[in-house]
Amino acid sequence: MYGKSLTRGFRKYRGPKARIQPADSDSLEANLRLNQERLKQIFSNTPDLIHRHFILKANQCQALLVYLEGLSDKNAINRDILHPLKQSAAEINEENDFPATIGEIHRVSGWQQIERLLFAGYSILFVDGQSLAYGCGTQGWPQRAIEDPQLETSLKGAHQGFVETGSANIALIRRYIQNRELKIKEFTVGARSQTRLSILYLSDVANAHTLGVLEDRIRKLDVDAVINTGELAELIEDSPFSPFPQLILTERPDAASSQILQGKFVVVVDRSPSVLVGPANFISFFQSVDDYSTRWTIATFIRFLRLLAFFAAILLPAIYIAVVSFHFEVIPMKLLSTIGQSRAKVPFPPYMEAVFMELTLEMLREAGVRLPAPVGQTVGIVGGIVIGQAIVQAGLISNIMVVVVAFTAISSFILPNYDMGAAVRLVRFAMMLFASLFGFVGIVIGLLTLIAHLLSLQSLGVPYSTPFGPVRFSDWKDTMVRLPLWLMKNRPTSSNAQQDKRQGDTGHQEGDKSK
Amino acid sequence: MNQLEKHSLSFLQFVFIIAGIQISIAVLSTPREVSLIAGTDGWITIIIGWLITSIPSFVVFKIMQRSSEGTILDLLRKKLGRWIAILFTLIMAVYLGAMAYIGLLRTLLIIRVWLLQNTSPFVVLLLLFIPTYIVAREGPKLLGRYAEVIFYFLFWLPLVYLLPMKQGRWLNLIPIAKEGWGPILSAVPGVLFAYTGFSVAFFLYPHLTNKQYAGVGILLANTITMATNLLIAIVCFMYFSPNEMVEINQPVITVLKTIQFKFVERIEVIFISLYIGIYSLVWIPCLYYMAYCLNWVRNGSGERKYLIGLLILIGIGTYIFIPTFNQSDWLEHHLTNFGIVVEYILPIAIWICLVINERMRQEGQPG
Repeated sequence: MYGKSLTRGFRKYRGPKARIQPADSDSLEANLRLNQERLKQIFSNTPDLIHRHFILKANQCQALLVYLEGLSDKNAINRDILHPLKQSAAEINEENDFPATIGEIHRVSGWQQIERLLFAGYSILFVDGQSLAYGCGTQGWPQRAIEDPQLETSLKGAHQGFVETGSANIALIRRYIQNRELKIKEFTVGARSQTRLSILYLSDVANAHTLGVLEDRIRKLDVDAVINTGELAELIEDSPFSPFPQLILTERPDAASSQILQGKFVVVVDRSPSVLVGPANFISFFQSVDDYSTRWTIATFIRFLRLLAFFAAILLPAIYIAVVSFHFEVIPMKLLSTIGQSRAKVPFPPYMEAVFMELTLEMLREAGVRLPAPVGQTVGIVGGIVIGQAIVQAGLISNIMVVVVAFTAISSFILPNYDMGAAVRLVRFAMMLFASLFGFVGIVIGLLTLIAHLLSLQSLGVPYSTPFGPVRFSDWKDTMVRLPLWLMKNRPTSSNAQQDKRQGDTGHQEGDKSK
Repeated sequence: MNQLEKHSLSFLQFVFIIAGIQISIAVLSTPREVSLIAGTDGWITIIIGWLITSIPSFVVFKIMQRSSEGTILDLLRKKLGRWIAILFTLIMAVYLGAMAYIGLLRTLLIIRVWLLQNTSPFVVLLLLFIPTYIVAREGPKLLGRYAEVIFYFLFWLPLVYLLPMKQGRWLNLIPIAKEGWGPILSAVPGVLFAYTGFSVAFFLYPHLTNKQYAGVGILLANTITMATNLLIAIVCFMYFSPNEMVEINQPVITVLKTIQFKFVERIEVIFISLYIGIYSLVWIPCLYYMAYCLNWVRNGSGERKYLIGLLILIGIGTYIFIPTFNQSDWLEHHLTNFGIVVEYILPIAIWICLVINERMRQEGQPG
C-alpha cells in the first residue's frame, strides 16, 4: 500500500512544536513586581500590550491589568472591569465572587495559559500578593459585517454568508438547526498560532466511523497555523494528488446546515470565511442551494445542463482536435469544407491552436479574478479582441476554434462549485494532449482513466463516486435529476447516516389525495 | 474491517464483472465464428452454448457454496491439499493471463486497423495501462464499480445494432436448420469461447454480499452475454448474405458502416473507440486475478508487485513482437480449447473430487 504511506508522509508536516521554547517555570509568583518583569520578558517588543496599574480599594494593594490593544473590547474593559474594581468593596481572592460585570472569568496560575488568553483577546488582572491571575472575557477584534456570500451567490437562498469569526459562524449554523443533537467538537491546531477548529454534526444521525476518521486526521496535524479552510482541506483530504476537490468548501450557512441535516460533518475554522463539508461525493459539487427552492422540474433541467456542461468543458476542445487532425472522415462533407475554409489561413496545427486559445482564456479569467472592478472591465474589452473576430481576421485562429473556446468557457462556469470548475479546466488540458496524440482513442482512454480515477477516490474514507459507483439507485433522486422534496424520505445513503429516515409523509402523499 | 468486508461486491457488480469478461472477449468474433460452420443458423448455436454453459456455471456455484470465507484457492488447499491447490492456481494464472493478453492484443489490432494506422501499438498499449493500473491495483472493490459504471455508460452500444436491422432481410435466417442439425452442433465448441469468463466467480464469490444469489448471478451474466451476442449475430446474418458473412473479416464492425446521421458520417470510428471501454472489462479483471493467483502461490504480501511485473512483461513482449490478426485468430482458437478444459471440464472434475472427498471423510468418521 505505498499509496497510503505516501499520503501519510504528505500529511505529516514535521515540526514547529519543537521550535517553540517553553518557559522556564510555568507558575506565577506571588509578587506583582516579579510577575511584571516576567511579563515584560515574555512580551518583549510588543507595544500593543497595554499595562494599567491601579490600587485595588478592597484589597488595599497594587494591581495590574494587561490586555492587547485591538484584540480586546476597550469599552468593556473600562466600563465592566476598571470601574467596578475601583469602586467595589469586596476583596478579590480565590473564593470571593469576582466583582467585574463580565460573563467569562478564568482563574489562571500558569504563564502558558495567560499567554494564550491574552492572544485570544482576554484581559488579565494580576493582584499583588497572589500567585493567581484573573482572565476576563473581553474579546473584541476587528470584524466584518455579515454580507452576501461572494463566491456562491444565490437567487433565492439566504443572503447571509460566513464571516471570519468562528463563533459567529457556529451561531449562523445554529440558527438553522436548533436541536440539542447538534454537537460541536473543538480542536486547537497550530503550534505558532492556535487555530480553533470546530466539527459540527448531528450526533444521532452522522456516522461515528467517519467522525473518527475526521478527528484522527485533525489530531495528527502539526503545523504552524491554519490560515484558511482551503489549507485545512488540503492537509486532511484523502488523495492529495488528485485534481478533484474531495471536500466541499462553502461560504453559505444554509448550504452547510442542509449538509449537516443529511448526516455530514462541517468543520468551522476560526478566522476563515468558509467552512469545510465532508464527506463529499462527486455529484454534490453539481448541487446548489437554489435547486431546492425552484420548482423540481426546472431544477432537474438545470442539473442536466450542468452535467452536459461538465462533459462539454472537458471534451469539446479534445473532440475538435481529434476530428480535425485524425478523424475528419467522421464529419459530413459540407461541415468539413466549412472547417477547411476557416482553417485555410491558419498556420498552426489544430492542437497548437486549441492549446493557445485555451491558455488565453485561462489567462483572461485569472486576470479578471483579482483585479479591482474598474480595471476589470478593461480585461473584458481586451479579451474580446483576443477571443473574437479580430484574431480570426488576423488569420491566427480559425472561426470554429473561437466558437469552441467560448463554448467551453461558458460550460466550465456553469458548474456551481468553483473548485470543481477549476479541476475541470485542468483535466481539459490533459484530454487535449491525449486527443492530439491519439485522436478518439486517446479521448476514450482518457475518459476511462477519468472514470477509474473518480471511482478510486475517497472522501474521509467514503467512496467519492457514489451513487454512481457503487450504484445506489435510491440516491439518484437527487443527482442527475432533482425529484420533489416530498419523495426524498430518506437521507442519502452516501453519508452513511445512522438514522435513515429524513422526513415522514409530507405534503403531497397518497393520504392527501383522498381529501 | 477485514479484506472481505472492505471489498464487498453487490449482486449487480458481480454480474457485470462476469458479463463484462464474457462479452468483451468474443463479441466481435462470435458472429463470424459461428457462421463459418453453422451458417446463418449460428444463432441457434449461441442459444445451445448458453444452455450448456449453465451446467458448469451451476457447478461453480455449488463448489463455492462450501467456501464463504476464502476464494477457490483457499478451499482447495483446505480440502484437497496444498499441491493440488497450487497446480490449479497456476493453471488459472496461465489461463487468465492468456485471456488478458488476447483481449489486449485484439484491442491493439483493431485500433491499428481501424483507427490509428500510423501510431505504434506499443504506445497505445502504454496508454491503455493507465486506467488498467488505476483500477486493478485497488482490487475487487474497484473492479466491481468499474464494471458497473462502464456497463451503465455503454449499455446502449449493442442497441445501436438495431439500426441496420431495418435494412436486413429476415429471409436470410430461414429456413431454420437448412443444412440439418449437424453443422449447428459442431459449431458449439467454438461458441463456448463467447461464454468463458464465468470462472472468475471462483474468486469473486467470497466478496459477494448476498451469497445465496451467486448462482442466479452467474446465470444472469450468461444470459446478458447470450442476448448481446444473439442480437449482434442476428443483425449480421440479416444484413450480410451468407457468403459475404464469411468473406468479411470483421462483420460486426463493418455492419456499423451503414449507419449514417446528417451530422456524423463514418460513425463506426466513434463506436470502435467506445469499444475500448468494453474491451477493458476483460483484461483488467483477468490481469488482476492473474496477479492474485501468483501472489497466492508465493504467499506474497500484495498483488501490486505482480501486477506491475505483468504489465512490464506484456509491455516488453508487445514492444518486441505483435502478432498479426491471423496469428491472433490462431491464439484464440487454442485459447478456446484451453478455456473449455479450464472452465467447463475442470469445475466438474473439482466438484466430483470434493464430493468424493467429503463422502470419504464422512465414512472415515465413526457414525
